[in-house]
Amino acid sequence: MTRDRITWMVLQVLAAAGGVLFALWLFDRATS
Amino acid sequence: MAVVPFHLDSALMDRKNPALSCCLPGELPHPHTLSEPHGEKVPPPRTRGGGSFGPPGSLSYAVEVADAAELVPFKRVIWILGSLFLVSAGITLLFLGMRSVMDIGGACASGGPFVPVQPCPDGVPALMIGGIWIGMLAAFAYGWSSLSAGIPSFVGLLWPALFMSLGWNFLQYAFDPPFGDGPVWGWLLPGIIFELMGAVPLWLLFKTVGLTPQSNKVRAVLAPPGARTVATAIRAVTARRTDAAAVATGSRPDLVSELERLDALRRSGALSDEEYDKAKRRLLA
Repeated sequence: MTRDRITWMVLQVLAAAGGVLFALWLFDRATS
Repeated sequence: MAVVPFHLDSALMDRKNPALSCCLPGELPHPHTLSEPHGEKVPPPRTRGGGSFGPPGSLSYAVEVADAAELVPFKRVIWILGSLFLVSAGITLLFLGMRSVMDIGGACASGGPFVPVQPCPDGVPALMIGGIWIGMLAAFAYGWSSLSAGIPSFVGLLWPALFMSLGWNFLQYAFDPPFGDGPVWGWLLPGIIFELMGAVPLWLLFKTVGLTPQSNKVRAVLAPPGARTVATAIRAVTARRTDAAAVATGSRPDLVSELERLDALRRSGALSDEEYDKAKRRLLA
């Protein structure tokens, strides 16, 4: 079902983007 | 009974529909084998990227909605999203750490019995080593949890993401080094190799299974409204029709079929575990 596919894609893109933001924050915190 | 968004009864009661006589008791007709109520063929399923099988109102749509009632368990959803979060964080830490090391010349060392020529930026070694290990473990966890759950998975993109992002660092610093003039051949060459190591698998993946491989049936995170009701209704009608056919031909469904039907009813939620056990005991008595 297309709706499920889109839901999964959006959730996973959000999780991946969250990981990037977390890493940026962590790196900034650890190196400054 | 909840209101369902299509004409379930008319679709199911269509005697000309061969889909309803295809299956064992308790088994749903597969969406691919269905005909529409008015005799139109369902378009063949797409092999890539999942698909929708039929227009709203058709039997194939009903079956698909019912199938969607099979949700991915919540715990698994957390595994999938959490591990992807960590993979993404690991790759980003590696990417950032590499840039900060390249900013000071491309190599650093700290600790140990030797005298470091160039000390590492504070905190970077720990972040890079942590990023590699956590990212790698999380990548395995993500691959396993997403592929076995029957959802569109980004697992095939992880390798290209890692190599192409690190390759980008090499290329950028090769042409625009922090000191001196470019191009720096010692960075340009690994940059090209890394980009190829990422791009070739990415291209092969795209040509073969698609960027987000998955089965045609995508399991849902959230149940569509009425899905369980529809699933139960379809299973009940299918079972009733099979019973009627058995009576008409004078045969009785065998024990295995009866058990399968009971199991289907339990999985659809029509029977509780207790009712299922009771019915099973009666059947086996």
